[in-house]
Amino acid sequence: MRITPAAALALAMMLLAPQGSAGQSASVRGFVTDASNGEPLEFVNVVLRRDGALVRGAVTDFNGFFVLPNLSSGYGELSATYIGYTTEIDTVLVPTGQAITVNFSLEPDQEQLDEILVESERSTGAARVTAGQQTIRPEDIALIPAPDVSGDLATLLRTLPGVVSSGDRGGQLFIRGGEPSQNQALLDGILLYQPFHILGFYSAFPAEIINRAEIYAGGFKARFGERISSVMDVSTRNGNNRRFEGSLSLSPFVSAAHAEGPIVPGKLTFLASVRQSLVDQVASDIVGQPLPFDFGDAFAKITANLDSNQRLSLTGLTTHDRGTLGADLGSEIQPEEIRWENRGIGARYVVLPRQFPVFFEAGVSYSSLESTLGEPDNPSRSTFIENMHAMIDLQFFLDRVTWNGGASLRLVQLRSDMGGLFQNVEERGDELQHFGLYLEPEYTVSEHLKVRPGIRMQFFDTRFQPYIEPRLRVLYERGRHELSLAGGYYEQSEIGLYDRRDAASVFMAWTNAIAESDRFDAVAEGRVQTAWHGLIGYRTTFPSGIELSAEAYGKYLSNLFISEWTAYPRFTTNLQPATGRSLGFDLRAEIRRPGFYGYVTYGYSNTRYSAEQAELELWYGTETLEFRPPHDRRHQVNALASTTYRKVDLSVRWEFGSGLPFSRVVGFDGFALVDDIINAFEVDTDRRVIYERPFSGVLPAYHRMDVSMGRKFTTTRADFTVQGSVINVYNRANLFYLDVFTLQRADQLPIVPSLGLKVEFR
Amino acid sequence: MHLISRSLPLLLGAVLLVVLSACESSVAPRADTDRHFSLYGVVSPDADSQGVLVFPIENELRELPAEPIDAILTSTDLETGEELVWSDSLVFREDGVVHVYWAPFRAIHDRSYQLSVRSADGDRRAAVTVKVPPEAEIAPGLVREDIWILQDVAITAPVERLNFLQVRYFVKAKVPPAALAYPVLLPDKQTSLGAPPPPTDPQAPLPPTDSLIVQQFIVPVDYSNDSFLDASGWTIPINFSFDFTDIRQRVARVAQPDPTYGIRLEHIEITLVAANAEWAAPQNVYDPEVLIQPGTMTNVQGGFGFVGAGYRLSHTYNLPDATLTRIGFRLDND
Repeated sequence: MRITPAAALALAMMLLAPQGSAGQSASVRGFVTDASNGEPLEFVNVVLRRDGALVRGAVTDFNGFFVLPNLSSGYGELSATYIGYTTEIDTVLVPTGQAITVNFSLEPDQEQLDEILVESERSTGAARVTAGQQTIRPEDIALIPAPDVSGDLATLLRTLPGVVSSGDRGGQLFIRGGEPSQNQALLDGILLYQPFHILGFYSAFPAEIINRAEIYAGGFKARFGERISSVMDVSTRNGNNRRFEGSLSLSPFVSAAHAEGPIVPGKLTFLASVRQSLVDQVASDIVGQPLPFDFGDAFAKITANLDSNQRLSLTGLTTHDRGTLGADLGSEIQPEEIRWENRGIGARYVVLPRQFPVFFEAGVSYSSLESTLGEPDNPSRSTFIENMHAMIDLQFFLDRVTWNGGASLRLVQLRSDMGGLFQNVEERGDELQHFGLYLEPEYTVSEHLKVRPGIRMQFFDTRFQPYIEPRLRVLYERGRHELSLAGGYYEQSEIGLYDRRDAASVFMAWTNAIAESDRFDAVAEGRVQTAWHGLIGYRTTFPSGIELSAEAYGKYLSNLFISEWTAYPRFTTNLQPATGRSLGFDLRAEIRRPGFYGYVTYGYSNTRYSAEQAELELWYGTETLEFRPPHDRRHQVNALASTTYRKVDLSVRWEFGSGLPFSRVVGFDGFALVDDIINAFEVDTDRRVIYERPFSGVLPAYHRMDVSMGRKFTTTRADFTVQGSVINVYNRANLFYLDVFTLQRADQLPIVPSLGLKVEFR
Repeated sequence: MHLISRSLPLLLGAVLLVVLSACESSVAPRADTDRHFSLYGVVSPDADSQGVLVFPIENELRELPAEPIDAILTSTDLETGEELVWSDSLVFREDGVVHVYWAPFRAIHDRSYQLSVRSADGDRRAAVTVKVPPEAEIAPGLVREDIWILQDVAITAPVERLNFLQVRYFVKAKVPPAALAYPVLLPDKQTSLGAPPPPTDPQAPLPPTDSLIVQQFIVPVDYSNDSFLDASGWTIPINFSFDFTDIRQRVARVAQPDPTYGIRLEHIEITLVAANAEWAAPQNVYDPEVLIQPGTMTNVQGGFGFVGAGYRLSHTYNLPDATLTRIGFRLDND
């Protein structure tokens, strides 16, 4: 949505104008942390009382931050209460017109240990979705059966309804009709372009480092921009600030280690993690087939508590992946090897200014992705993208409204080279600048109703003609019922190109919205990709521990750029404009009982793209071609049951996904252009693919059952966890990759028994 | 009974696993087809031998090996019933081998031929029938002077289609030497060499006359969409006045012609292909990116591809000086 420069200036002045004069009233704010490790505690009730009467209360956010604004001066009793922890009470003097900082460090209460686990689960869970937003914590990840004992966010994401993965191999997620390049993956604010490893159980987010992950399947806040489908905002832990801890784990798939602890007690902590795959060396022998994958990651974070009001953290990570995804059938055409490497480093600074009830955060980061496909020493396709990012976020707390606002600047450089066999693509390079401003007040309209309208102004390539992105989130809670809705408008400049003619194409080339077509206005004008989202959800909780939720959504996508359809057997960046829409709904049922946890989810999705290639009318007699994109999985079912029997944790998960569309090939022949009295001996010829109508075939359905069993043994110095698991219990031959040119087929993992050991030192 | 109730969940689970593991997991990547060969070529009465490219429709994308393919191609003269078996010939290209089937005969005007290709066992077949257009000539009519200078050109026999019809003007102009790089001036600012000419500034001063050279330009004008067929046969309505304006603009795009020399016409050449009825691309656009789509322009039964029938026709002539002067191709003082 574009506006004129004059209107943009007026809007910016309006947004940036002072919105109140509450800065002169007193306030109390601070952080609440777990005394045993220094990690922030969310959902802690912080209350100020005077003479026994409640003055004001607040609940900590995911940073453990709270603020009590608009206070009159005087003494008061400030308490921090959280189930599973001893309550802390402090007497405070609130000076006139000033903001004071009071931090709490709560000691765990062993007697309430079980309750804290239950309470923690209740802040997350399979049915805990609010207008497309779902919070995931490490304990949720631990419930999902996986081939090794150290968990990973990827295993859980694949179980969410509306999330279609490329399977055990490939590392691609399609969220509610969106494509992988339209998902924004952030790790402590660092943008990761390809955050999932080549083996689908793993990502750049090992459970050991995660504090929480916020998944927005759509309708995300104005704070997030530059992507049109979804956001994965992962926050990592700071590391234990009291004592050193560490762990080592070993399984046929991955070996992992992590360490954390205080460098300067109470002031400076570190958290580090490293993983390296053993798939090629160990798991392939167990499976009885080659698993030519090599991947790993390393993460490190240092957090400095500069004083009670300021915190600085530095985060760095690197990932690497390498493998061949096609089947090697011994033919002349060897499967191509794909490689990619993520790099990222970032700093975040959080401060509570002494005079204002404001939470201020600033960050800078750099990240890059380099990816190649082809022969290891002579790749035929490559892409490189890197970005520098700077951002500030502000939260300004008033009585019934919290003003959220901020700005970000991202400088992007990208290049792609897609030459090679059967290809005719030139090298492409580009430099992009994104500048964004947002303002998003959250109004507490009543005890039951919260409304969060927002607006984001997005400048692409520093043109003072911003794109305006309105957003809205509404939450209505009454008793055990919760009704939520969200919507918004989203824009994205970078394009992730991949070959949609493959049943499972993994290599994605990054390019920019280009303006090189004299056939399509949208291309010629360099319009960015856009999306409208709308979601409405309902959730209810029963006292019996059953929680039900339902959510319907719609996404309407415009200015998509997809590869032109052609019978030439080649990968191409000749782009054609397309539109798309995805409609669907999720149903979730979750049950928690003492000693038992389970859920069943069903997701329905219906995604269609409409291409506008000029030749379509000549080929099919229609100006646009509607088709199901290859990630249009209509039906998904996920079921999980987890229990503990004689100290043994047992989890069983079953998933089902209906078949994905693909383009069936009739055969291959040759082509010669008969545009004159041609001489058959001399005329140029090309090989040709004879397709059926695009994406009219359907691949077989996907389904699989995984089980895991584990037990923890505790000693005075360390905890030992032994876990056995079986992936694909009934050995279903689920298709991963089908090369329609060569008929090479690669399946997902067969039945995989696995045994893992984890040692946690403290 | 108690034992049965306890075992039931296990039993049901086992049955479920067996059922699930037996579910269909195979995929049919190839759609069924009754098309087996693709053919490309032109049957021409101008050639002493005929050649057609034959591609078997295969299940795999591969370079064809340098060995015979399982295909037998025969042609039948549908009037005489004469049947010929064509010979396979391997032609080596950079991207592999192609098979050209050929037979030493000259096609006869106004006669139909059926080309049939089949595998040795006869299970796979494809065929195409083409009718060779009758023999015709290009016959320019009288020049008419109306608001414009016009000429109707007739085709002397009832051919079914006129393809790739161009009126090519061979003109001379006095231009700077740099214009030598652009001998053929196509209508879309491109030249026959592919590179767009550098833009010229019509307001710029003309270079000294003694540095100019006389350069010949070939300026083709497409008349494919202007010719029409009525009861009297084909007519190509040439509008010399329009064409002169167009030619002058095209020459000016690549050079500043000397106005004292003008644009002088040497001669006119009309070229076309007299073609069979099926030789018609959608919207008359012969773009490989369009026509490569299987089925877009095909006349092969049991296969894909296109085999045309036709021959080239051309006619070169000039116009009287007085007509040239009135059009503008000749200056009054010449």
